[in-house]
Amino acid sequence: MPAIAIAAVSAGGAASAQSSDAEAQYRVARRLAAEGSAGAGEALDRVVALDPRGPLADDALLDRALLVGLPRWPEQRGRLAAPRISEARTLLSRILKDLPTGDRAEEAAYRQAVLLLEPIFSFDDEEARLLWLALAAAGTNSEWASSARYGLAWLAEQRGEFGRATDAYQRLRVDTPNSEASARATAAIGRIRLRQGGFPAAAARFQDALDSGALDDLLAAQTRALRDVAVDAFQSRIETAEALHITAGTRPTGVAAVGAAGALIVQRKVGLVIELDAGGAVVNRWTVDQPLAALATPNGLRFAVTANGVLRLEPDGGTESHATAGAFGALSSGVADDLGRVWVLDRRGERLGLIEPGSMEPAPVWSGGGARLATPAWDGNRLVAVDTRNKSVLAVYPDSSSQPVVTLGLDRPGALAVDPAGRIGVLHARGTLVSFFDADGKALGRFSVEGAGMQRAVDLAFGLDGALQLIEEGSGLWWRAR
Amino acid sequence: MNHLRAIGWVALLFCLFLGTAHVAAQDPPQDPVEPSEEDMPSTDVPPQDSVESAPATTRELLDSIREDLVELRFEKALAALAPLVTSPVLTEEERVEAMVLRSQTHAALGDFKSAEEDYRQILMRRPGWVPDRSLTPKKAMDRFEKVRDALIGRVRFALDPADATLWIDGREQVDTLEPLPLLAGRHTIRAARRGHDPVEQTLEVAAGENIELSIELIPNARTVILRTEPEDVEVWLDGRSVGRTARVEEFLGLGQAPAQLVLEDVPLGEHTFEFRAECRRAEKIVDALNIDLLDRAPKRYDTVRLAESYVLLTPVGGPGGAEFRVDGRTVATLPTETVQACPGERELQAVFADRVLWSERRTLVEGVPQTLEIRARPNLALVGLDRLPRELEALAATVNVFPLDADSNADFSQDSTWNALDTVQPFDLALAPDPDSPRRAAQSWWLYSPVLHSLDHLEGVPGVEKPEWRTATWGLTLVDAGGPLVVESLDSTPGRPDVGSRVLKAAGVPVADVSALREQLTAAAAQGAIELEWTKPDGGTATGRVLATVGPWLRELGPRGIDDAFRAAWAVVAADSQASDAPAALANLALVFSARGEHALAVRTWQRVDWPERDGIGAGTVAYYLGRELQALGRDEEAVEALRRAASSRARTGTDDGPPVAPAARDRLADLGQR
Repeated sequence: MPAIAIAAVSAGGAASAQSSDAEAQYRVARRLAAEGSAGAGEALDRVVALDPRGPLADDALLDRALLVGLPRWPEQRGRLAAPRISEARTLLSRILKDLPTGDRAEEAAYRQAVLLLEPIFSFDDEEARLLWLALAAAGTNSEWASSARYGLAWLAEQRGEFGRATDAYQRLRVDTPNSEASARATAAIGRIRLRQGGFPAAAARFQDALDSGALDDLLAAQTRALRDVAVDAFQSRIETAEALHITAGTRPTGVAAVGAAGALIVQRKVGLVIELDAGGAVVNRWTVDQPLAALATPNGLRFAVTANGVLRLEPDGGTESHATAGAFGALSSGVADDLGRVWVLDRRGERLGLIEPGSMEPAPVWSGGGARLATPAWDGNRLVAVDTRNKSVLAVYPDSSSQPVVTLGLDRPGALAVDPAGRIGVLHARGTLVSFFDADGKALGRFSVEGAGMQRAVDLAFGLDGALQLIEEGSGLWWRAR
Repeated sequence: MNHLRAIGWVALLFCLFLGTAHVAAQDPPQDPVEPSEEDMPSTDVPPQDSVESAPATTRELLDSIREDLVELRFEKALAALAPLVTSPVLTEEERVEAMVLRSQTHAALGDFKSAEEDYRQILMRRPGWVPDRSLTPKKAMDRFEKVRDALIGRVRFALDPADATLWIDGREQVDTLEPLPLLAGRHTIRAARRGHDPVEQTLEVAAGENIELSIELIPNARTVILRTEPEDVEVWLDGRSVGRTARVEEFLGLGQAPAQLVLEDVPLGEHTFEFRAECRRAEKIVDALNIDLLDRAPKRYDTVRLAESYVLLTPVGGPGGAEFRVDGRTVATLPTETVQACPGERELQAVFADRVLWSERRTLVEGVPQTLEIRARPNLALVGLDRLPRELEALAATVNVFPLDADSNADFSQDSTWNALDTVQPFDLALAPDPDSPRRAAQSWWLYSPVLHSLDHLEGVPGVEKPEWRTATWGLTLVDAGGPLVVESLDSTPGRPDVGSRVLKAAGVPVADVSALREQLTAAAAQGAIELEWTKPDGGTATGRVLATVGPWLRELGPRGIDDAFRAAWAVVAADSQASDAPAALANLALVFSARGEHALAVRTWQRVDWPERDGIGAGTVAYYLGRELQALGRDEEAVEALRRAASSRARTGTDDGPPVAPAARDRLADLGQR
C-alpha cells in the first residue's frame, strides 16, 4: 500500500510539473502570436506536446488554428488556400475529438463548421449544419451558441429558405440585442427583404444594422451600399451619372463588380484578369489562359471561367482549379453565389450546369430547347440570362423550371447584369443601349452608352450599391455610374 | 467616715465610666496641636516591646484599667496608665481617654497637681473638654478652670451668609452658632460658600479671651429663575444646555404658574439665555447679571413665551395612498396639498404598504416652505457607516440610506455574511466598505443585491439614475437617402409622413440626415409631439404635428453585475410602489433574471407582467419571453403553448417599434419540433 501511494503522489507531481511547463510555454507562445512572430505556431505546438491532455491543450490548438487566419463569420470564407484550410481543420478536429470538454470546444465546433463551408473539395454543408445545430441546441447563452444560430440562419438564406432564415435572424435580434450577431442578422434580414422586393423594409433593416455600430468595416460598407440600392429601387431610380471613366486594360471583354465600386476586368486575348479598386487602381491580377468571364460574389469569392473549367482566383494572385468542365463540355460563362456555388453555361449557351462547392465538375441543371443563353446572373432567388436567340431575358429557377422575364424591346441583347435589388440591366442594340427592367420584367428606363463616352460596350455589371458599370473592348474604357 | 469614703468611691467609679464616655461623645477633637516635649508628663515609659508584647489590645488595656479603678486598684491603674499614655501605638482618641482616666485617678488620689497637668494635656488636644462638674471634686475643678483660663480663648463667629462653611486651621467646623473654644495662639480662619468669593484670614486668640468675629462673604454669582410658556423648554446658557423648564405645583389656588428652571449661582456678567422647544420659535435673553448686596434674592426674569413655529411642506408625487411621515409619525396620506411640520432636522418618509419608498433627512427652517419630490427609490443598507461618504454623494441622492450596525469582524466579501443579515427595514441594495482597499487608493466597496443574491466589488461610483422603463416612439423608420427618408410607418393616421416622404424640417430646424432628425425627435420626446415638414412621395410639401407614443421599454442589458443590481433594485421599487411603469420594470427584471440563468425566477416575474394585447410591446411579448424561459427550464409543453401565442401576435420587443417576436417564436417552435 505505501508503495502505491508514493507512486500515485509521484505521478501527480509529474503531472503538475507537466502542466506548469505547459502554462509557461503557453504564455510565451501567446506573446509570440501577439507579436506576429513566425515562431508562434511552433511554440503553440510545444504547449500541446508538453501536456497533450492538459487544460491549455485546447487553447493552444485553437490559437494555432487561428494563426492560419480563420474566418469569424461564414461570409468571410473564401480567403484561405486549401492547404491552410486543411491544416486548421486538423487542429480543430483534435480539440473536438480529444478535448471535447475543454472550454474552447464550443468555439472549435463553430469554427470547424465555418471551415466546412469553404468552397473547396472539403465542403460539407450538412456536417456544418449539424455542428451548429448541436451548439445552438446546447441552450447556452454563449457567444458561440449565438454565432451558431447565425450560421444556421445564413445557411438557410443561402439555400433560399428565406422564411426560416428570417425567423432565425429575427430570433437573434430579439434574444441577443446589441450583439454583433444581432447586427449581422439585421443586415441579413435587409438582404432577404431586398431579394423579395421589399425595398423600404430592406432599407430600414440596413439602416438599423448600420445604426447598431456593431458591424465590421467590410460589412458596414456592404450594408451601406445595399441600403442605397434599396432606396433607389424603392424610389424607382437608376443613377446613370458618371462617377469614373478610365482606361482599364487592353481589349477588355468582360466585367464583374467587386463590392460597391471595384471590378474584375477580363482581358481574354491578353490572358489576364485584373482587379480594380474604386479609383481604378489595379489591386490584383491573375494570369488565366483564355478567360471567358470573371465572377465575384458580394462576400469576396472570385472565380474565372475558361472553356475548360472554373478557377478560383486566390488573394495572393494565384489560381486554383475549382472545377473542370468535364463531361459537361466546354464552358462559355458563369455566375457564382456567396455559398460558393457556380452556375456555368456550355459553349453554346444551351445548357446550364451547377458546380456545388466541393464538386469537381458541373452537374447539368437546365437545358432549354431553343434558347441560347449568355451572361447569366444570380439574383438570390433565380438565375437570369439573356437569350440571344429569342432576344429575351430568361429566368431559370432552382427547380430547373424557366420562364421568360423580358420578351419585348430588346435588340440583339448581348449581356445582362442584375443589381442587388433584383433589377435587370440588359446591354443590347449591338452594345449601344442598356435597358433596365424590374424583377418582373417591367421596363424601368434606358441608358445610351454614348452617355458613357462609348460607342459599343461589350459587358455590364452592377456594383453592390447598384451603380452601373460598362466596359468597351475597343477603347479599353471602364465606366462607372455614381 | 469609711462609709462615706465608700460612697465617694462608688460615685467616682461611676464618674470614671461616664467621664470616659463624655470625652468620646461630646468633645470631638478640635485642635490637633501637639503638646510640646516639656508639656509631657515625666513618666517612665516601659520598653516598647512590653506594650507590644502584651497579649491584650489597647481597648482591653483601657477596660482593664477601668476595672482596676472600680476595684480601687489605683496604684495598679496608674502603673498601667503611665506607659500607655505615651505609647506611640495609641490613637489620639485612646490617648485622650487614657489621659482622662489618669486625671480622674489623680483626682481620686488627691494628687491635684498631677490632675492639673492631666487637664492641661487634655485641653491641649481638646480645647472644648470639660470634666463633669458634678462628679469632679471642687479642688480638681478649680485646678481645671485655672488651666483652661491659661490655655483657651473663645470665638463667636457671625457668618454672612449664615450657611457659609467655616474651616479653622483647615478643619471644617460643623456647628458655628456657639462660641468655639480655641487654644491661645494664631489660627487660620477660612469661610466659603458657592456663589461667593471665599474669605481667609488669621486670628490671634488670647487665653481667656472672648472674641466676636464677623465674616461677610461677597457674592460673585446669582441664582436665576427663568420662566417659560409652554413648559419643557430647553434652556441654553451661553451655548450650553442647562436644563428644561417644568411646572411647579399650583400655588395657593392662583392657577397654573409658568414652567420654570432655577439656575443657581450663575456667575455675574453678561449671559445669553436661549429657549428652545419643539415646534416653537426659539427665544433669547441677553442680560448683564449683577448683584445688589442689599438684595440677594434670585433674579426672576419675565416669562418667556415661545410662539408656535412650523414649516409648510408640499409633497409632490408618490403613489396614492402612501403615508407621509415626519419623524416616524404619519401626518398625511398622499396625495395631499400641504403638511405642517416643525422646524429642525426631520426625517421625512413616504411609506406604502409598510415599505419605505422615499426617505430624507432635511433641515426645515421656519417660514421657508419646501416642495418635496416624492419619488420611490431603492432602500440601501449602509453597513458600518452613518452616511455615504463624499465620493458616493451621487448615490446618496438617488437612494434611501439606512445605516446598519454589523459585526465589525464580519467578512462582507462572502455571500453568506449578507444572507445572514437580519434587518428591520427591507432593503434593495446593501453597501459595505471593503476593509482591504489599498491604501492611498479610493475606497472600494462590496455591493450586495438581495434581489439577485449577487455580490459585486465596487471600485467607483456606479450608474445610479433611475432607469427609464418607458420610452417614446414615433412610428417612423428612417433611412439616410439624401435626407431622412421614411421607409416604414407604423401609424397610418392622416397628417403624418407616408412611406416615401422625405423629412425636411423638425421643430422648425432643417434636418440634413437621420441623425439630425433623431436629435430633434429625442428632444421632443418629453413633449410627446413634434412639428414636421416633409416632401411627399408625389413631390408636394406637407407639414404636420406628429405625436409620439409612449410605451414600455425593454432595455438592452449592460455589463453583468453592478448594473444588474441597480436595475433589479429599481424594478422592485417600481413594482412595490405600484407605479404605472411597474409592468415594464418587472419585465426588465425578468430579463436580468434570465441573463443570470435564473429562469424559474424569470418565469415567475414574467407571469406578473400584465400587458394587454396590442401592437408593439404587449401580451405577445410576454408570451414570447415566458416561452423562452419555460423552454430553458425544459417545460416544453408550456413553452409551446406560450410560443404559439407569441407567434400569432403582432407584438414586438425592445420598444413599440422594435423587432417583432413572432418570427423568433416560430424559430423556437421549430427547435421544439413544432411546425
